[in-house]
Formats: sequence, C-alpha cells, structure tokens
Amino acid sequence: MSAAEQAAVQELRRGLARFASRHIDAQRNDKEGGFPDELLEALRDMGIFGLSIPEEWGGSGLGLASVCSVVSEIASLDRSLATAVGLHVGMGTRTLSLFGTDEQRERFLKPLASGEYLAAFAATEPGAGSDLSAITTRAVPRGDGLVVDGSKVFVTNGGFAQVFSVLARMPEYGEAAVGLVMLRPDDPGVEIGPPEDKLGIRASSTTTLHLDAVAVPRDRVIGSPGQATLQLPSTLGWGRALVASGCSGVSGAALASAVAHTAGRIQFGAPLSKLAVVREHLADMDALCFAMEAMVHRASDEGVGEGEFTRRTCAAKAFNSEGCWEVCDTSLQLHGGTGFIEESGMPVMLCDARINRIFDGANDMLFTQLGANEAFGRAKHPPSALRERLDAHIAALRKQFGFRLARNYGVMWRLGQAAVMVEAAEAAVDLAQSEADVLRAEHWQDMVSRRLEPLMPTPDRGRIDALFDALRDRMERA
Amino acid sequence: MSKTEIETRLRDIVSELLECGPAEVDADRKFTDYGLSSIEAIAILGDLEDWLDLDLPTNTLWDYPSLDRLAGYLVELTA
Repeated sequence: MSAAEQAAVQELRRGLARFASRHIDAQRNDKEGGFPDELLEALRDMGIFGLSIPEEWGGSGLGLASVCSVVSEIASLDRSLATAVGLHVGMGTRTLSLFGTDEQRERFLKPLASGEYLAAFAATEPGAGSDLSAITTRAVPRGDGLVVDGSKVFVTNGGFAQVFSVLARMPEYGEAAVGLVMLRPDDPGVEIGPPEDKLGIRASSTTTLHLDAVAVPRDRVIGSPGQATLQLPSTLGWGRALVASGCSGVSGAALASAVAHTAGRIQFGAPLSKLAVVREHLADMDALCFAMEAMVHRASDEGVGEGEFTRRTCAAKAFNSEGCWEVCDTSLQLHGGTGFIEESGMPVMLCDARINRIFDGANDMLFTQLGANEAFGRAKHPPSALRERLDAHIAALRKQFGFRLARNYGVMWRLGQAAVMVEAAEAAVDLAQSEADVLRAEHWQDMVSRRLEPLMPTPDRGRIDALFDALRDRMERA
Repeated sequence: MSKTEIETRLRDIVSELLECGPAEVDADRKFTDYGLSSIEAIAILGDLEDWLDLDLPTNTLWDYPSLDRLAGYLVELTA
C-alpha cells in the first residue's frame, strides 16, 4: 500500500468512526433486521461501495490490504454492515472488475461502484456447500442466449441486490465447465426467497434464489464462458481475506470493551483488571488480536502466486474466525452477568461472530485442506522452532501412513489447526515493529507452544470409529 | 516425461490411497467416482509437484478428473 493510499484509508477509517458514533447502531439494526436508508446513502456518499472497483469504472481502485483495513473498521462498528459491504466489494464485484468485458463493466460495474446497485454472489446450493463440484445449477444454450435453472441458498445481500453473480454449470463448454452468470432480480424466472431468520448478522440479508428457466443473453456471462474455475481463486481469496479482516475488527472491539469493563468494575476493593487471572485473559486476547492482524497483513499480499494466495487466505479466514469467536466469548465472560444482557452489546457481538467459522468455506474443511497441504509439501515456510516441532510430527505421520494419511481427515484437520497457529506466530513476528508489538508476538508464540501439543498425537482411529458406531446405535434405539 | 511414466506414478498413488492393486485402477474412471475428494487431490498434487518440479493449480483434478486425462495434461505441461 502506497503512503498516499495509506493516508486515504486512515482518513476514511476516521470518518467512518466519527459517522458511526452518531449514525450506526448495530443493536438497533439487529433488532430491526435491516439498515436504515440514510445509513446506506451515507456509505454511498463516502464511496464505500466502490472501494475495490477500478477508478475508470467509478471506484477508488484500492488494493486488497486497503479494502481489508476499511472492512475491519466497519466490522468493529456493525458486523451485519461489514458482511453486506464485504460481500459487495469482494466476491460480489471482484470477478466483474477483473474479467468482465468493457460493455459489462460500463453497464453493471459503474452502478455497483456508486452503490446504486448492490451485489450478491450465489454459489452454494442445497446439495453443494464446501463441495462446489456438486453444483447442479445449469446455464444451457437456447436460441441466441442461455437458460438458467437451479436453486441457490444462503445468498448474502439477496434481499436488496440488483446484480447476482450465479455460479452455474455450462455443459456446452465441457463436462466440468462452470461460469458466472449475472442475473437481475427482475429477470423473468428469478424468485428471491424471504429473508432467513438467523442466529446472528440479522441486519444483513440472506435469502434463497430459485431460478426457473431464466432466459438471458450470452453477454451476461462474466468474461470467458465456462472459465469460472480460472476466475474464482482470486475472487474467493478476496472474500476470505475480507472475512478475516472483519474478524480482526470485531475482535479489537470485543477486546476494547473488555478492557473498559474490567477497568471500571470494582470487586474485592479493586478494579477487576488488577486481578492476575483477568490480566492473563486480556493479555491472551491482545496477543491473539495481534496475530489476527498479522494474518490479514499476510493474506492481503496479492504479490504472491495464485496457489499461495489461496492457501494464505484460507489460513487467515480459518484462524481469524476461530480467534474472533474466542475473543468475543472471553470478552463476554469478563463482562460477567452484564455481558449476558443484550444492552451490553456482547450477546449480539457473540452471535454475529459465529457465522464467520462457517461461511466462505467451513473451517473444518479449510483446516483439513490446510493440513493436507502441510502433510504433502504444498506449503512452504521459513524454519522456526515451532515449525520444526510440526515438521517432525508430519514426517513421523508420513512414515507411518504414506499416502493413506490423506484419507485420515481427522489427522489432517488437527494438522491444519496446528499449522495455522504456527503460521500466525511467524506472521506476528514479521509484523511486530514497536516494543509493544514484540511483546504481543512473543506472548502469542508462547500460547502456540502450549496449544500445539494436543493437536499433534496420532489419534486412535479404531476407537473413534467404535465410539461413533456406539453413538449411532444409541440414537437409533432411542 | 512419457505418459506411461506419469500414468504409472499416478496409478501407484491412487492404488495406495484406495488400498488396492495398481491394475485395479481404471484410467478412465473419475477420481470422484473412487470416492477421492479435494483432500486426496492435494496429496496427489503435492507428490506430482515435487516429482515434476512444477506448481500446479489447486483445481487441476477438477479440470482433469481421471487418471488418463490428468496424465495427458501433465505430458503436455512437461513437454
């Protein structure tokens, strides 16, 4: 990020914070299940919807690191709003920015940059979540155009988007060919379901999308038809990095709230923050927050190759969403009974944080894939003491199981968690500049050292299978 | 690298993953039909990358979903 871009982003963040103190009420938005029109209008005026869109198409043309920084700020204020904006500036518009034709950009990207249109991205289906190879939505030729049929679920921004990027099979270009087709809510055959009633991020819109013989011209396919597998890595990587940055912003807010509460709450004649156990919790949260910032910093480097970008963004999303959950939960705990009361803001924050471990790639899947990358040499890292411990464990597993190790998903899942924690320790050391940051990075390294061991034993596969069989039998008898 | 060499290497990996004999692996059958997922795909890609000294896209086994098609693609790539 250039110095000028950095200054512009800082100014935007300050402006957002000033605006938020008067106009963003996350709890009210949560209760009402949406955003007031004047809030969206103000975001349009600030240019928020065009952050990532190139200047020639009406946006600010900011890089991923800058967009992450702004989304992190928004997430610290309102998680639902960060979800809506993050989806728009990331997966909703990124493919069009990168691969769209000039005609498509003129027609769709300009109004998306101004915020006149909002974007949605529809990939998940009832039978295809983490396994996108299972999608059944199809775009097939009819006359000069295409006809799209299928169903999508969990479509973020579905209730107010004007442009849906829909992932569909395009069998005319090959058995495995998929493409992104832009659909409008008023295209005949497009049916948008009612808003889903959710555990968290309740002000953001999540809907189903049913497509019944939706006829569209061929110029609705973004870029080269049937080439979505080449377009998606960058788009999905942006999506994951933005989730990671949102988690970082939320965690910072949860930590700040815990610090303020424990400094002001007097128990046993002194502020809670004087108690050793409270201080230890706060120190752990602070170190974890710094590691999360470091993972966003690493994931938003677009100068690495595509494979490494994918791996880093998966690692950052999985690590930060787990970290966010931990920080929000600990913060609520440190608030005591107050944290359980809606007015404190902590219940909404905790509920909002939960989805991050699921969307944009369920963490179980990401950790399992990351573990496989580590076990089979697809992740390259500089040496470190923590890395040596992990590598020795992987070498022992490879010796014992050979390629069959890849079929033991439980081991891969644990390896992924261990590897991501170690990577976060390396990232934190790399990012630390000030004395305070060095302290935070060192504390995170100590925490990883303590947390690593339980993730590294070889599990007894036979016992896990026997336990599962016994559990299923009990449930069937009940 | 010849197609036979690559096919032999792939057959060895897949048969080890499936715990069957190399001859039992059908070169035209899709990897997914054998129950191999993106996790096993990473193991296969990792081995091929080390062996051929290449960086392969993560979606390689999506685009070339059988042993025969993957071997054909790798022959072109290493030619």
